[in-house]
Amino acid sequence: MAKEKKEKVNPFDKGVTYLDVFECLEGKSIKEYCKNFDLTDEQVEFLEKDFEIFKQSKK
Amino acid sequence: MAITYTPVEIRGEAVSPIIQEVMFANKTVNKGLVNFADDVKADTIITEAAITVAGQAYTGEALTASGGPVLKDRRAIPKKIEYKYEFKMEALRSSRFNRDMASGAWNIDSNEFNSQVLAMTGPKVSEDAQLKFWAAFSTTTKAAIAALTPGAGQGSITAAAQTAVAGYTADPAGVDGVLSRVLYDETALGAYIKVTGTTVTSSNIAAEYAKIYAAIPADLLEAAEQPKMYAPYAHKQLIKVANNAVGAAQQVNFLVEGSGDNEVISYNGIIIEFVPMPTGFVYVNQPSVIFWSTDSMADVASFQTGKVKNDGDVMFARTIYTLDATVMNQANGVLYGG
Repeated sequence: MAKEKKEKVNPFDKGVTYLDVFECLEGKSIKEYCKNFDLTDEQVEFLEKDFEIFKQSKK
Repeated sequence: MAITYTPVEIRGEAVSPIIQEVMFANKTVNKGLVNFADDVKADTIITEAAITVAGQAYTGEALTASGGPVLKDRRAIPKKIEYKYEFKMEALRSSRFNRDMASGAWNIDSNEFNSQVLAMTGPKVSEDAQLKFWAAFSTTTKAAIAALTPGAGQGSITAAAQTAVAGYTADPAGVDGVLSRVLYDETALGAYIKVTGTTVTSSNIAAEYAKIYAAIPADLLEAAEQPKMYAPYAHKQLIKVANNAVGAAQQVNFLVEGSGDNEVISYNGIIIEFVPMPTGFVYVNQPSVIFWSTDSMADVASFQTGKVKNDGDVMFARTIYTLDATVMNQANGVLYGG
């Protein structure tokens, strides 16, 4: 059975958590993933740093 | 704790006054930066109210109702906090303070010590109370914030904010300060308007404050009571460096009026108050919706001394006060860094 593809979520949408984003990454980097959305460079830069903090805190 | 003293054996005169440590004044209380609810012995209810109205086409028939009052209560429960230390005047007998001790082996009380050293207790406690009011996190709230799942958008706490809170020491008296109340509102993430933050420097502080200002609800900027920006102490220096960049044309992004105690710094007409807000956070809201609840405002700057035991010379100094922070109208508040 094919694995159901998770619909990509905009990390900056209200209520979207990093867990939701993590499930949609499919091995891509945050920078790559953000190309799916209309985000500013500043937003992408913030997301890269904050997501890394999130990943570190989960270790 | 005994008196920690590095004395020089007194020969001749000593310089007066004694050089006291530099302390942050409790501006929050002294200048009335927030709303004060005193005479709160145990707890009190603070209520916020709003009305939602919805216009509908007139039909002449009995309309289905729409809208109405929206009320929310928050409970202010002041925590009781005590400070106590002990000391022996005997430790001062061979120091400068013996100059005003009366003769006789029984007499080791020094008015100079009382008035210039012990008297610092009040302002020091007051400084600590201000710190608790803005920055304290209880163990319970720290745990609740740690259990949240972070995210970048509105409705989630950033991972940076969550990690910062995890690093703070829990307040031993269980106090939750303003930042704690804003980040976690009783049972869930606070309803603050989120502005994602970065490390603030003199180079980017104007741009970061532009983001904060742009997030303030338009109707709040039109209100009779203007909001204030409550910022960390360090931002004052960064703002002044930014305003007076070396070798560049002066960029007056921030308005600085007056000097010394009367200095007022503002951004686009919104006054910035520098308080012990933890690094990385700036909070914006109307002062009247931020409550300092206590039994008596006088408690925080007063203290009592006495003998620990009647048949000994060990003295105590104690201060006791109660404190709680409550933030209302949280949906109007902007939190940078949250």
